[in-house]
Amino acid sequence: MNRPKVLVVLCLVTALVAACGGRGDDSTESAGTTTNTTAAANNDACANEKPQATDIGVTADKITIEVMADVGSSLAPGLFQGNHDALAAFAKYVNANGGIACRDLEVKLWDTKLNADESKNGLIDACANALALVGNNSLFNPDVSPMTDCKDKAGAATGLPDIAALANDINEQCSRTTFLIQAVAEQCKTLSGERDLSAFTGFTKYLLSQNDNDLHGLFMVPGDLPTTVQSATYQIKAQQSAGVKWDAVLKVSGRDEQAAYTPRVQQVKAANSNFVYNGSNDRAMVAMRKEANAQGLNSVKVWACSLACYTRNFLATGGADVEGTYVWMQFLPFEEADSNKALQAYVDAVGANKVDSFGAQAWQAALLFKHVVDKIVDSDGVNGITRAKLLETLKTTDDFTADGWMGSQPKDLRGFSPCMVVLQVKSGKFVRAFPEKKGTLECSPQDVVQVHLDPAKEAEQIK
Amino acid sequence: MTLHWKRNNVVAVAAVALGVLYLVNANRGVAPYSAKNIGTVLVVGAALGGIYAITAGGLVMTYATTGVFNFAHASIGAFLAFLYWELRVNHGWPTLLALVVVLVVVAPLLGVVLDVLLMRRLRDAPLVVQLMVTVGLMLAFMGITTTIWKPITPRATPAFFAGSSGVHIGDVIATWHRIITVALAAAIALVLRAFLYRTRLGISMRAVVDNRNLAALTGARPNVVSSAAWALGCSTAGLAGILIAPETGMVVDTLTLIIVIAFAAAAIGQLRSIPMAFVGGMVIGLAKAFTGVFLAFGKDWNYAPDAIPAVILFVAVLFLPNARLETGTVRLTKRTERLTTPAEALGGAAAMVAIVAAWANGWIPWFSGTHFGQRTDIWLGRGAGFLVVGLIMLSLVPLIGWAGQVSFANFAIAGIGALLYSHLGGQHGEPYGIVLVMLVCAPLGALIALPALRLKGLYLALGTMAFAEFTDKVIVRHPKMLDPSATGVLFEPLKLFGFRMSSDPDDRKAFVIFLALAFAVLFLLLELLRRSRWARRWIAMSDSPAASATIGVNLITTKVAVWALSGALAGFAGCMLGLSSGSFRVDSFPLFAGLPLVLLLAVQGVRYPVAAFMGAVGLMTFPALYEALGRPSYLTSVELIGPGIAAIGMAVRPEGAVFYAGRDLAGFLPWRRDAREDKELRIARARAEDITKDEINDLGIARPFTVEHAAQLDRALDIADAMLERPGQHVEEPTVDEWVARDAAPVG
Repeated sequence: MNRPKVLVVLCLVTALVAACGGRGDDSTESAGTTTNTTAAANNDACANEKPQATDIGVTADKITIEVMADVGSSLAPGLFQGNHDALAAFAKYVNANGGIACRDLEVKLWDTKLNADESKNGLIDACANALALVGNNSLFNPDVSPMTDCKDKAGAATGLPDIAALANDINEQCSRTTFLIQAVAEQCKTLSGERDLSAFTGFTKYLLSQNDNDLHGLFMVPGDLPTTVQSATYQIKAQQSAGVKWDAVLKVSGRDEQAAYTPRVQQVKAANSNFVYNGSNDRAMVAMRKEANAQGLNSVKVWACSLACYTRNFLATGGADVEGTYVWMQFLPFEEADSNKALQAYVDAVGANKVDSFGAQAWQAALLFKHVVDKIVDSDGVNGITRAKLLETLKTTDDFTADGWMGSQPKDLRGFSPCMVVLQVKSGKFVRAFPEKKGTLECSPQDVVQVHLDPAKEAEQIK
Repeated sequence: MTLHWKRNNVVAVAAVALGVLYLVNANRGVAPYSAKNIGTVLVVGAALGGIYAITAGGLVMTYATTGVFNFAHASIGAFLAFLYWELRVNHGWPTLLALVVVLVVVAPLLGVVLDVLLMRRLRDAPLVVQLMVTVGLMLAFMGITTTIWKPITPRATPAFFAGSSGVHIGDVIATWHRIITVALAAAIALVLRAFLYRTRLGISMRAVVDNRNLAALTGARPNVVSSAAWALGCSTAGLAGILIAPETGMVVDTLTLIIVIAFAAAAIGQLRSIPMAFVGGMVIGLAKAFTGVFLAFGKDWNYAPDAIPAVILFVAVLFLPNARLETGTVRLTKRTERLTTPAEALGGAAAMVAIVAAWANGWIPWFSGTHFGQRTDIWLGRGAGFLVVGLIMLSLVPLIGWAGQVSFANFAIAGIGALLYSHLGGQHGEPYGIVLVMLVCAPLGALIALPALRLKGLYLALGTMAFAEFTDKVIVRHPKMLDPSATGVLFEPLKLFGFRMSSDPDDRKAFVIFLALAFAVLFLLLELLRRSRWARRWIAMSDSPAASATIGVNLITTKVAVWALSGALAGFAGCMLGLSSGSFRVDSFPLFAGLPLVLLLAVQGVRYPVAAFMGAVGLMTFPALYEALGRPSYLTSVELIGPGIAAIGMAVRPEGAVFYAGRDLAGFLPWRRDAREDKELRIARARAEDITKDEINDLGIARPFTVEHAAQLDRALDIADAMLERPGQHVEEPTVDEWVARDAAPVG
C-alpha cells in the first residue's frame, strides 16, 4: 500500500470518527461496580467447574482474542498503536485481577498496515486462532467473508465475533458478526442509494443554545476520498435540521498547505459567519484556525470539532491559535480519570502519556468482551464460552456502560448513543464545558435523529 | 529550421491556451471575477507558488550543477527541517543559531558526504540507476527522519514573524513568513543564476557536468566542484524544508511529496533555468489558487484540481525540445552479454514453477511453524500478492532494461487494467476479460509512448510520472472506472480449467500456482524474445539511436512496439492485481506506490526477467522476519530505512544483484566454461588496474605526471597493446596467463 496516504488516512479516520458517536444511557453518573460483582461470581464458578477447551481460542487455561489495527505501515507508523497498547495492557490488567472465565487472557496483535490484504489475512488468522476479534481499528477491511463464514470448533459456520473499537469500512460495520463500541450512522438495511442514517445533534443543540439559536457558517468536509465526503453529508443535514445555517460547505484536504485555507477564510469573512465546524482531522482545524488568525478573521464565535480534535497533536501544534475550540465526545475525557474506575484503570495500565481516543475505545471494547463473557459464565458456567454463545449474548446486550465511562447502548449494539460531553480548549488544555459536573455525561435520546438521503448524490454537490 | 520549430511551438502554445480557456469556461464556478477575488487568487497563488518555487529552484540547481536529478531533494529538506525543529523548538536554540547550524554546517556537510560516498559513483551510471539511487535516498531519508522523530509526537515549526500582522493586499493579508518565502525563492533564483553564470565556481560546476575531463584540463577540480555543488544543493533543500514546514505541518510525507509539484515547476524551466523554475512554481501556485476560487468541476471530475501539477508537468515536457540523435559517440550502456539459451530459459521457468509449487504446498521450510505439507492461507495470500508485484516488474524489463525507456507509469497502467477488468469480465470471473484488458492496455502503453517518440531519458521519465499522477488523481477516480458507492469485492474468482483463482482462502493455493505458471510462461517468452530481432533492435536503440537509425531501424515502430508490449503485460498484471486484492479505493494507485517497484527491479537487475521473480521473493523478507523475530522495534526501523539503503547500493553495483550473482555463480555450472574463464580474466584485469579513475583524472593536474604514471595509465585504460596496433592488423587478445605475467613484470 502504499505510498501519500497518511493524511488521507487521517482524514478518513476523522470522517468516520466525526460521523460516529459512542454508546450511552440515560444515566448521568458513573457506575463502576459491574466488574467487581461479576468477578466475585466468576470466582464461585471457578470453584464449581473445571475449565475445558470449548471452542477455537478457548483452552482449559486461556482465552485468546485478537486485535487488528493499522500500526506498522511505513506511511503512517504507529497510527493506531493505541489499539494494540490498550489490548496488551488489558490482558495484563485482567490477568492480574483474577483472569477471565477462570482462565488467563491472551491477546494476539495483528498489524493490518493500512492494507486490505493484511486485513483479510488478519481475519483468517483470527478465525483460526482466536475466540473473537476485540478492539479492532483497521481502515480498509472490505472483504469480511473470512469473518462471517468462519467455522467454529464443531465445523459450523458460526462466524467470528468482532467487537470493534472502530469499524471504518462499511462492510465491517454492517457485518452480522460485528458489534460496535463507536457507533456508526449506517443502519445497514441497504448500503447504497437513498436510506435512513443516524446522526447526533446534541452538540449542535448545545452550541445553538449558547448562541441565541443563531449559528451560521462553514462546514469543513474531509475531501480526500469520496467515502469521507459521503460520511459528512448526513452530519451536514442533521446540523442543518437542528438549526444551523450553512453559508458554505467546502472540502478540505489533509494535504493542503495552510495558504490554501486563505480563500476559505475569505468566504467566512464575506458571509460574516459566526460558526465553523470541522468534519475533517485535527490538522485541518489547526491550519484553518492559524490562517483565520493570520487573516484577522474575528466574526467566528464558535469553532467546533468532533472527537478528531481531541488529541495531543491538536493542542501542541495549534498552540494559542486553537484556544476556545469546542470538542464533543461520547465518553468521559482522560482529564477526569479519577472520576471513573474503568477510565482510571485504562490510564494507569497504558500510561498517561500514551492514552488516546483510539486506545480508549479499544479498552472499552475489551471491557464489553469481558462483560459478555462474565454474563455467559453466570448463565452457562465457565465452559459455556463459545463463539456462538458470544454472538448470541452480544445481540441481547444493552446494559453495557464500560463501568460508567460511556453511556449504555441500544439492543444489538448498533444504535447511536444519546450521550455526550463537551470540552473546550482553555489555556492550552481541554476543559469540561458541558455538562458542568465532573464525571457525567449529558444524555438525551431525542438528540439522535434520522436523516434520509443518498450520501453519494449529496456528496456530488459539495465542491 | 529554427523558424519552423518556433512556428510549431506557437501553434502548440495556442492549442494549450485554447484548451485551458475551454476548461475554465466549461467549469466556471459561482465566484465572480471581482477585484477582491482576483486579489485573493494572486496572494494565495504567490504564497503557494513560493513554496513550490523554492523547492524547484534547489532541484534545478542541483541538476544543473551535478547532472543528477535528485528525487531525494525534498526528503533531504524534510530531514533538515526536522533537525531545525529539534534545535530551535525542542532545545530552544535562538532562531539564527539554529538556522546557521542546519544550513551552513550540517547541510553542506551532508552534501559533501553524499557526494563522496554516493554521487561520484553515479557519474557514468545509466539514467535508471541514477534515478533509482536518488529514489532510494529519498526513502532512506524518509525512514531516518521517521525513525529519529516518531510521527506520534506532535511537532510544529513556528513561522517567521508569526506574531506580526503581515501586509494587507486588498482584503487579504500576506504574512511575513510567506513574503519571506517568495522573496527568498526569487532571490535564490536570481542569485544562483548569477552564481552559475558569473562566478568561476559556478561556471566550473556547469562545466564539470558537461564534460568532467575537459573541465579538469582547464584547471577545474571536478571532485571539489562536485562536492560544493552537493553542499549547496543540500543547503537549498534545507532552506526550502524549513520555510515550507510551517505551511504543511511537520509531516515527512507531505514535506517529501512536494517534490512532485517541484518537478512540474522545474520542467517549466526545462530543468536548467532556475529563474524559469521560479516562474514555474508561481504558475502552478496561481493555477491552484485560481482553480480553488473560480472553478467548480463536475461530479465526474471532482479531483481534477489535484492533477494540475501533473498536467503542467506533462505539457511542459511536451514543450521540451526534441531529443537529438547523438552522433560522434556511442555510449555502450550494456555489456555484450551471453544470452540465455532456450533450454536454460525453459529450465529456469520450470524451476520457478517448481519452487513456488513446493513452497505453496509447504514442502519448503518456513517461519510460520506449520508442519511439513502445510502452508497457511495467510502466506499463500501474501505469496500471490508478491507474485503479482513480480508480474508488474516483469512488464518493465523489456521497456527499461532492454529499450532504455525509463517509465514510472506501469503501476498506473496495472491499476487501470485492474479496474477495467472489474467491468470487462472480472466481475463474473471470466477469463476472456483478461484478454480484453491486455488489448486495451497495449494501445494505452503505445499512447504513453507518443511523447517517447521525441523525448528520451529524464524527460521521458518525467512524462511517464505525469501520466501516473494523472491516472491516480483523475482516471481511476472517475465514477465510471471506480464507483465511489461500490462496497466490498469487485471481482469474482477467476474460473479456469476447473480451478478457482482469487484471494478467498480456499482459492489461494490454486491462485499462487496459477500465478507462478503465468509468470513462468511470460518469463520464457521474454527470454525467447530477448534472442529475437526485436529485442536486438530495442537494445541497439538504447545504445545508440543514431546508429540504429543509420542501419535502418525504424525508431518509431520500435519504440511503440516495446511500449505496447509493456502495456499489455502491465494490463495482465493488473487483472491479477484485481483478483489478488479483490477491491480497490480511489487512492489505491498512487505514483509513489509505483516507484518502489521500479526501484526493486533495478536493485535486482533491470535487464533480466528473472530479476522480477527475485524481486517478488525479496518482498517476502520483512513479513518473514517479523514472523520469525516477533516484531522487534529495530526491525521497523530497518524496514523503514533498509529498502532505501539497498537502492543506494546500486551506486556501487549498478548492474543489479542478479547480474553479479549470475556472474559469480555461473562458473559453478558444469557447462559454463565461459563464465569461469571470464572470471579469471576479470581478476587479472583488476590486478593490473592499480590506480583509480579519479587518480587518472588528476594526473598532470593535481599530481605530477611521470613515466611510471603513464605506464599505469596505459594499463588501467587497457590501451598498451592497442597503441601498437596498426589499422587492419589483428591483435590477439592476451590470455589469462599473459595478463598475469604482464602484471608481474616491472613497469617500463
